[in-house]
Amino acid sequence: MGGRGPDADFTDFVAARADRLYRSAYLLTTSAPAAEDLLQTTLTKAYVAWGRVRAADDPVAYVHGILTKTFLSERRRRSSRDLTLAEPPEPWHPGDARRPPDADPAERLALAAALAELSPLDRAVVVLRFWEDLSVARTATHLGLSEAAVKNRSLRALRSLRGLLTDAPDGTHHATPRSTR
Amino acid sequence: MTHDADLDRHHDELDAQLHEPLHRHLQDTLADLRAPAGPAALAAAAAVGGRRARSRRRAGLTLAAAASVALVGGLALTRGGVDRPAAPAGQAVEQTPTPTPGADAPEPPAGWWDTPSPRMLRTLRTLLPDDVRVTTVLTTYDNGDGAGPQTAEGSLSGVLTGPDGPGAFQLLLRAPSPGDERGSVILRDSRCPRERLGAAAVVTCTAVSSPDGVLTGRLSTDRERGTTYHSTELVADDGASVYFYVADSSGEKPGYEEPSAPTPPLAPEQVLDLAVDPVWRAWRP
Repeated sequence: MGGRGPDADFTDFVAARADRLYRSAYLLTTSAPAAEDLLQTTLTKAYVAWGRVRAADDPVAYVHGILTKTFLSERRRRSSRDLTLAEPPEPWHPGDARRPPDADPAERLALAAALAELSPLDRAVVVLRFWEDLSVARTATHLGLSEAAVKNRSLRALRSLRGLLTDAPDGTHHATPRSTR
Repeated sequence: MTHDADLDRHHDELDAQLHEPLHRHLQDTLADLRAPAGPAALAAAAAVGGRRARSRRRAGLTLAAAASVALVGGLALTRGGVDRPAAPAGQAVEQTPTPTPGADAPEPPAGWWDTPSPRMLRTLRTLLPDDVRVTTVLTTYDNGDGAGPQTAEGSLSGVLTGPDGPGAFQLLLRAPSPGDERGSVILRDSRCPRERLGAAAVVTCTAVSSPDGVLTGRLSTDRERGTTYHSTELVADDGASVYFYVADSSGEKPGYEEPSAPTPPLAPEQVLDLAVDPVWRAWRP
């Protein structure tokens, strides 16, 4: 990181990583307000620990680890399923070059509803294995689980989430929204 | 075949089939999802909250209130009664991000703001009206750093239940920090008018102060993401402050849960009377 001082480095880090962290938070909490709060709490903790973050081999992974641990340690959070379904779709930003041509806000709600069916720890496994694309071994290390436990939870998650995915005739996987309640 | 071998086989088969499609689906579905607050606001709020936590080592419960910002006026109050010149209800406005001060804020001295949360709970129970009870309480926090739950100091949160139903509460004793950014934020938070972020709206904001000058602050009612709550922030003459929040929903934060009562379990006057009690400033380390 640059030598302009810790606060400038922190601000640069937030500018570069906030959206990605927010998406991880959304997958974990399945709720936009809860994701926003989790993101802010994570960044505050990262600021407190900024010396350790800067010194880490992988500062990005370090902060993502704070996010996951913070989510799992908040034990008084109830299921956010109903809150998610009551929310309007996230606004699309016209001209956003990153938006895929077939993205659909309803898909996001369907994804959130499907994730809300999983336990918090299963959701954490989904985020690490299938969103951040970590190996079974690294996921196990991050979460303090055995590799067998990660595989078990991954299996459960895949069986639960495969309804979001359908095979097209040409073999391409396309997403279809599950019915929501 | 052993159980582990069966698990490996089933996992590996399904993972080979679905891992990449699910990964792509997650990427595509979330590609245009952005953090609602801009990076500058996020970084500024994190720095202010982080400085508080770094100075007082009360990470868990205090961080839950780090994003709140409020504003004020002044009113004579006497024990058991409050004169209240009404301030106009505010509109939701955009918050100006707090500039980030230097990274190394000095540690505040120990004081009544470090009251252990179990003691705060006993005190709260003695001050509540007879028909309001503490039905859920959190007196520890976990920073997610592997140290496990720690006893909170100067912070208490949970659920109060009154005759009409339950609602969340939070009680914070904030250490003094005169002259630095954290102190400025606390001072702004104790004044009217009250600026709110996004969809949050101020219903009422009333300035309060004690005739002897020991306490100054505000009492307000806000509505945020479907939750109505009364809160007060009172700054003492030593620069420390008392913050008390009571909502009509049992969720940890506004908007987390649907309202669980028609109104918060304490009326605004009760919130203020409880917060001004000198017992909160009596504990000595």
